[in-house]
Amino acid sequence: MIQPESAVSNRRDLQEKLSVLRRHILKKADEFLLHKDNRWLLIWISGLFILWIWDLIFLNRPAFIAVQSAFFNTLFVALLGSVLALAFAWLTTNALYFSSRRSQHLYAGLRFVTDLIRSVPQIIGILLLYVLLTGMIQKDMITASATILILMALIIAVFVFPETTDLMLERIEHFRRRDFFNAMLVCGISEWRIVNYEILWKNSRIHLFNKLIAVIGMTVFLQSSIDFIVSVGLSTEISTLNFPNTLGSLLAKIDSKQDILAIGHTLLNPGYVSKLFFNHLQGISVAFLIVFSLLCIYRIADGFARRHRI
Amino acid sequence: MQTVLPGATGFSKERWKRRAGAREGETLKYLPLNINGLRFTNFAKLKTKRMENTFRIKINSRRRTLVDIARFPIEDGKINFLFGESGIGKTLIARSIFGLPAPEDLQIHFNEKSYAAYRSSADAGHNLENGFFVFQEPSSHLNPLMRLFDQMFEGSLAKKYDDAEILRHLWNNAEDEAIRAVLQVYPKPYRPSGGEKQRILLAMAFKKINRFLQSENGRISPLFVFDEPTGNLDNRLRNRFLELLFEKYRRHPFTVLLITHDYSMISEVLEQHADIAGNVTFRELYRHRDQQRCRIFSPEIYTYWLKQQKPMTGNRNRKKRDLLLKVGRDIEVFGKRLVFERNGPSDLEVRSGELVYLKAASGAGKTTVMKIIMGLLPADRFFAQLGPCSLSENLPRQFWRDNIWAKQAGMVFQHADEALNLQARVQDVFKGLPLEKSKIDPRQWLNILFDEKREPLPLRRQVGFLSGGQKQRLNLLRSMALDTPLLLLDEPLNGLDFESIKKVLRLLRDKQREGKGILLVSHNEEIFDKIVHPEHIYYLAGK
Amino acid sequence: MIRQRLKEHLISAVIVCSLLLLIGIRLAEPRPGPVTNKTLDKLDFLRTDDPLDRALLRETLQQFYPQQSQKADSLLDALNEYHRQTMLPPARGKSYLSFSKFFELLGMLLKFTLIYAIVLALTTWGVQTLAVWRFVHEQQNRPPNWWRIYVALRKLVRNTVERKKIHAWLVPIKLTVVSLGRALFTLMLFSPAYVIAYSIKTRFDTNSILFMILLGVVSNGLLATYAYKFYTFLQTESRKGYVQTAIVKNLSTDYRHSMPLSRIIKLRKIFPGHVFQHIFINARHQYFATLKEQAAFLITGLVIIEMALNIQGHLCYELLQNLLYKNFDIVFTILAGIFLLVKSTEAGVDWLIHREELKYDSA
Repeated sequence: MIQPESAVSNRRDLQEKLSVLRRHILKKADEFLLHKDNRWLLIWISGLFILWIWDLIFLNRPAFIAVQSAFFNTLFVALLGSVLALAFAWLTTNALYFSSRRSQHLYAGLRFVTDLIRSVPQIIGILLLYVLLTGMIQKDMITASATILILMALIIAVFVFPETTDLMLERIEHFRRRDFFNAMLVCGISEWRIVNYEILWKNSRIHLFNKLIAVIGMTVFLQSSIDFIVSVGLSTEISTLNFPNTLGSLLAKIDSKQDILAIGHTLLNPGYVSKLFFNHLQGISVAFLIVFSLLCIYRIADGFARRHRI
Repeated sequence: MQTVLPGATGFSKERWKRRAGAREGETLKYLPLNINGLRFTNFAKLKTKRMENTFRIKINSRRRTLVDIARFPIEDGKINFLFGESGIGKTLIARSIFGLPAPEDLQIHFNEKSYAAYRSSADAGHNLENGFFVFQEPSSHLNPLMRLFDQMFEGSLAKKYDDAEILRHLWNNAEDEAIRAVLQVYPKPYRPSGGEKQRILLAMAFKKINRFLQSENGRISPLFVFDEPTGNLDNRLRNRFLELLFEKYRRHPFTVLLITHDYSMISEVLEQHADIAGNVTFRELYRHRDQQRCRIFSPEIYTYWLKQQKPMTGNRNRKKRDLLLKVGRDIEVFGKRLVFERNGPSDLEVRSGELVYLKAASGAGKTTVMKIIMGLLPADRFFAQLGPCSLSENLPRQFWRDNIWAKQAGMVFQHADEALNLQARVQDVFKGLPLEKSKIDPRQWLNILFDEKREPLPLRRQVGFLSGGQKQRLNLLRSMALDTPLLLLDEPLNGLDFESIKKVLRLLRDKQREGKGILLVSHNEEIFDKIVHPEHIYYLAGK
Repeated sequence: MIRQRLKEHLISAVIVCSLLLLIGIRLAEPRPGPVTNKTLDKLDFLRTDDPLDRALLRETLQQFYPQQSQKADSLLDALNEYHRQTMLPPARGKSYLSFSKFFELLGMLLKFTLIYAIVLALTTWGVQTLAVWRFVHEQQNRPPNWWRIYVALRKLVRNTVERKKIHAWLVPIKLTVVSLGRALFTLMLFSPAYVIAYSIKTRFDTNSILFMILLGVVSNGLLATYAYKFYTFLQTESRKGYVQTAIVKNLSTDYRHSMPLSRIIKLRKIFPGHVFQHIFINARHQYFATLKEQAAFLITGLVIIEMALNIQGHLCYELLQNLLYKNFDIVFTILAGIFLLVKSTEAGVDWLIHREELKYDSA
């Protein structure tokens, strides 16, 4: 059958368009994968997805739901904690910078407080505030899981933000040492704009974003550790019924611990390795999620820093 | 010859060749042993020949084309002067010819061949082995954690090559003890001075030249690149450098590429070294659309223009003009006393419609004085009258903020790269200035120094992507927009090509006509000696 | 300048430690006991740690005594406290800071400090070694192991003669083992200490000091994070101008033959005649400034190890236990000790940096 000329040309057009689209997509994918941070982001997401499928098939339903909710809770706290840390850091940087210009007493006081927070090992500071939080939970002052998670993020942010403050102050100092700052000052541009817009926003947001990625990793680590410690060491203080499920607290559960202990058993009995991925899935999944996420976040930060030559 | 490659076959070879900067399908004669470290394979085995004279160079970053020049000549065995505004690509071209940029950072093509192929060539190897490159920022090109002495004697400079003679010459026959003291210092940002660091780098280059002159074999001239070698030197020391260079050259010709913005070197060469003027070429790099081009710069263009220049005197009766700035005859800062001199110690005065030029030796404290006047640097002792305001060392910074900055005076800093926000767009440069709304339109300011037809400047272009000369003009315009009665200019001709220099000088004359007072410091003595009335030239002396 | 800085550290240490001790002593004062033991004893059927029981009791009280919710709450609290105390094993109950306890804590602090100092020294060496190794490895520009394995296997598949030789198989096997080992090591560097410790608890004595030191060095991402920082310093420095000057002075840039592993792992790293010497000394100079941050991170890591592994007789295990039993005088004394350790480190690092600066400014 002879096709009408217009149909042939339409099909040819379509084929051409598809080929252009394909080339465009391949080009974009190539550009995306050129950067190490993008590659690791993809690896992270793929790894999580594969684990999710695996757990969906081989892990029992309650444990699957527990692992899933623990991961999302941890991720939520990590992301929120990092954003809060950034906000605290921005406020503190402004407070420190402008107080140093106007009132030396105020500056000394603020400096003392930030130095103090910095000098308290993060895990201990967070632990002390967690004790307060558990007290509040016990007294039923807080019952909603979302509120508890937000407070957890807030607590971690309080002890994580000084590093970001240091970075911001360092950036301001970097530009102050150059003519950048003075040149703008003598042009009558306000100091507030120079610090917040010209330096921190325009010239440091890449650095800050990179720091933010690193802080997310730090927050995941601290949160998992503190929840593990609290669940292991302060377990009589907390009822698992009213404390949100996180990767750390899930790892501290006796069945997860048994799963992790099985790794040691496998070291001397390699034949046992296949059972690790079927019979000990809860603990292995949680440990994998923590370690794999930390590794990927680190690599993403590394790639991002390289891409932008920070 | 087959490519020497790590890994054995197909994909691996291509992959590593690509990482080395080679193009697909191209066979490399020698692959650098180390891609990042710029080491080349088996130089000794390569037969050296006279270097190629003309280069077709294309350099791309990931985002844009940095250099695209169809013909870049370096005349063998000659002293090649290269002018052109900063940021146009002179340094990048010179570095690439020397094989210095890491291949993974940039895509470079030489004469339609890959950078890797060029770097593995005999010419590049010969230059790196026997030539030298004096980099333009001496502060960052010396290791801050090694004494200068140790840096002078390492690698191929480990032996002595008449070091003492070189150093004495560059230090203007200073005492050996003084030179030795400098060599014992670790180079820090403020010590030794920029000029001293510059001379150390020059001394290294001269050691390498002596090494070449003493060598028995070869005699094929390597390339010696001097990138802004006199940017930190005053005219006297600059001339000492030129004298030494020409003296060595007279002994045996070698190839030199000398990159500079200092057009007054032309006069020095023509007047003091006329005997070998035939072996000197002057070229200028300029931008034509998206490409760079290199043209012969006839020295007469500059010398003729210079002859035409005369000071703009305006109202001859100085007393009748408004006094905008008066600085007491001496200032104490960092434990040093700086004295203004004009036929003996004198107060520094700037009146409306006057262009006042403050001259001093390199590192004497010209910029420091400007910063003290603007309240950016605290002095130990200082007194000035700026418009209606009396200034002294005791005033708080807030006073300058409330009364001086952008109200009585504006200041243009010498490094536009530092003074401007490189991440901002052109249109943002005028944002945040205390201007009336009607005056915020950036176009009206840009039209003053940018020709929209010949040199269109998109408002949305990032400042960091502009050439150095464009940035410097933008830097000037930002301060001009404030319309303050007094302007302080620190090296206003920094990084400008000849055309831009003329434009900026026209702008300064316009400002003079408008009745603005201008105080400037500059190392372009030859130009400003002509343009500024002798009565308005002051010398700054350190006591 | 340095004196001022050291004075600040001293003042901060004195103020904070005094405050902590004061708060601890204040909190340790005997508090009123449970409301009435005899009455509460009769309610032993109640499980006060169960929210359901507590809610039920509150509702019951509100039924009988409406308008007295505050009284009901305090009764619930008292009941909870009383119940908790009766549930505690007698040996782990409330204890107060005595002289003997203080000296016991001091001993623990010294042990903690010793472990900390050893781990700090080891990580400082480890950070530099790992970073230099990575930098040199990258400069060597070798193909990655996976590619070399692929090439070796392809050769074996295609070449039947080669396939019969045992040594031909050794290459891909060796590379695979090395790659797996490297991957495991990387994962270990990022693993929290408790994951590693529980993984091998059945096989090793995870409570020994030696194991703690090992765990402190390799786990919690400490080594990886700071090795990466040092590596970034090396990268940044390698792009600086003075390196270019060193290159045109013809210093060696060969990373294949002049940088053997033996030189990289040396305690005192020197690379004479090589461009890398310039890069390394500048990167190391910057690294000193991060020691403070690294030390704080290290303490956090050690605290996690001691707490998560419940290593009895160690400072942080003691801290956790006393937090559990609300022995705040002991808790705050331990905190004061740890704070002092952090401050001493900060002062030490400041002094080290000052000494370095003096070294380069003296001429």
